[in-house]
Amino acid sequence: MTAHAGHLPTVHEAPPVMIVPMVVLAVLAVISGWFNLTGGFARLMGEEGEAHSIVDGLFGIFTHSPLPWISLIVAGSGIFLAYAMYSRKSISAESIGRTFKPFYVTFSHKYWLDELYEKVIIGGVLLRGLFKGFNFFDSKGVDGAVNGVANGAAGFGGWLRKSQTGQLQLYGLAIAIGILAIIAGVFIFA
Amino acid sequence: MEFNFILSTIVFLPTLGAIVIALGRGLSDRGIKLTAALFTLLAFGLSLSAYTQFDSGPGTPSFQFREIAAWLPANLNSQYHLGVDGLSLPLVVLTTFIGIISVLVSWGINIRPREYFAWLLLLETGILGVFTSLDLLLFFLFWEVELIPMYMLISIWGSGRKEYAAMKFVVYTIFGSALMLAGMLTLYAAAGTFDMEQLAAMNLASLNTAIPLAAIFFMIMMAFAIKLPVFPFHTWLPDAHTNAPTAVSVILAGVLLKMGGYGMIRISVSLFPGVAKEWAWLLVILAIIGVLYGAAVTIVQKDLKRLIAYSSVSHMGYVLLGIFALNQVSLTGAALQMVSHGVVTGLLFAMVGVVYEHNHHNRDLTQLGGLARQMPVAAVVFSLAGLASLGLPGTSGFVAEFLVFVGSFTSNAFDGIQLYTILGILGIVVTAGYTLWMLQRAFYGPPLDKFADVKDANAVEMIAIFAFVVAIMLIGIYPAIVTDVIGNGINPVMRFLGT
Repeated sequence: MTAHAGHLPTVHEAPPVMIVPMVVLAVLAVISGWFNLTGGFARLMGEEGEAHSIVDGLFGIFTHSPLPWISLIVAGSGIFLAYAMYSRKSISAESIGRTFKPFYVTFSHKYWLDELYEKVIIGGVLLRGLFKGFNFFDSKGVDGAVNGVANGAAGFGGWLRKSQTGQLQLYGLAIAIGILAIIAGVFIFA
Repeated sequence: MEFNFILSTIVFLPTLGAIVIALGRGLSDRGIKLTAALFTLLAFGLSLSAYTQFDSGPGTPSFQFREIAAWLPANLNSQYHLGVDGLSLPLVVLTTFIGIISVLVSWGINIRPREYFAWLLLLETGILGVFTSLDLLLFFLFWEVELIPMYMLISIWGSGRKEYAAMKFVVYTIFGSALMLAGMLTLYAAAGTFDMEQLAAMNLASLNTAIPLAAIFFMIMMAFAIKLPVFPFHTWLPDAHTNAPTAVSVILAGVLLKMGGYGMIRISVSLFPGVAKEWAWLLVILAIIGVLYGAAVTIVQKDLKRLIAYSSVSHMGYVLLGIFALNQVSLTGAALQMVSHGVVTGLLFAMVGVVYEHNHHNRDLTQLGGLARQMPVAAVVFSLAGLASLGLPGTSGFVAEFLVFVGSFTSNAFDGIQLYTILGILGIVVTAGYTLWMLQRAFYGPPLDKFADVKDANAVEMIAIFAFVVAIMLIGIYPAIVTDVIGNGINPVMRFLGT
């Protein structure tokens, strides 16, 4: 973002058609949390929760564990850092980016998850690998077997055809062998 | 007595049309097309009227509009026996609907139109006969009748490797038919009748058949498995689709494949409930392989038509899953999926035809792009068909697939079917992937100069594609219009299964 900031045309405020719904949603987002301060909303929905005071509802959560504090501090320092960098410009975003270059690059590429998904998993493993392999198997393996049977039948017929030479002597020989085979069969099985 | 001709009229109206077209020497090309449209429209109207007259309330007979006539020597125990129940009637309506649409999408045929439309109409009779026959011999006869027109239509009016594709389709199908005929004859030798109702009422397991009952089951099943198609018997399908003319692709995807699914419910499951239960695990595994493998192969296709053809392999996997989950809900879902896939994929193929015809005969996805600029209506309808194909709520695809999944998941056909159902549901993710990616590559992105002169769908095409859209939305929003009738056909099947 920061690296391109200088190239952007003058940034201006969004038009009212976008601002108004956002403001309405922001107000609702803030006040909707208050509905359940005393556990009243949970009871309204049929939850068997116990009632507690407004103070308890507001600050009770901070007494249970340090996690809310940690997240608040992280969020707060993030807001402060952004303010210092982009609004007051007292810290140079470019120099931070240079100092923490490995982190900066990793974060700006979102841990390369999109690349991993698009190029490696979908493009590589699935499309170019597995799916293409299936397609190859389908045309060479499955369909190859079908065509193989057809070619085999045609080939066998082509080979068998050669026995029809038109030579009467050969046919006579075949008839003689056939008769002998029948006689042998009768003697063996009868 | 019970002989009211409505089914015979529906079945043979297209044949009559074919005869008129073939012999009507004075007909102009336009006259031929109008004649074809008239006869298919009449058949569609009659089937709609049968649909509204059909009584699907509780306690009504499952087979209605029954026609019985002797047409072979009496001692053969085979009759001209037609009838429809809640399973076949929606498919009859679907067939006549696809029939009139396929005439409309063929309006641009200029090569030998007389023969073309005669074959096309004869093909419709063959399919209608399969869905209405209640006699195995008659069923087989109609099953075979459909092959000849298909061979002619693909090999003469097709494109690319049309002779190879036509020959492959016919030889592959005949291989299945031969086994089916042998199975039927073995059954007949033991049972002494070809009548499906009598056979269903018998306990076939107690018969003294020449070969084990399971062997007969699989011989007959082979014909249906090739037709549906079931992995690994599917490779004739992409070749036939890719090289067939548009109308034939629409019929092939729209109704021809359903002959396989219909046969499985009507014959495999109804006549052999015991064997079907015993082997359900194998067929469900093949169904899931078909769904996932079919979808995986679909996604890497570059030819638009071949892509849709492979998606049918995946979608027919859901039909197979629904049938062999052997559960009331799953079977209803399978029957509905057949109707839904008929209109959705029929529309997809019609749209491929529109894109192909208007685009200098180009359907290579690596070259198409930005067509939404030149053909906005086609882009929207194509997108809608794509969304129905991936099962978006509000379209027929959603209702059908949802019923299949719910039925299969709650089925107790065998242990572990839930796992297979979950794997099958994953197929939807891949379906969404290839459908949206296909739409993006064909229609979106920057408009290309080479397509600057491309026109949108014309008036006849508009009628055809909007008829499909209406059907998809109607079933999607008010599925009971079909499922109420289907229930009448599924209930007897559940009784045969003993649940």
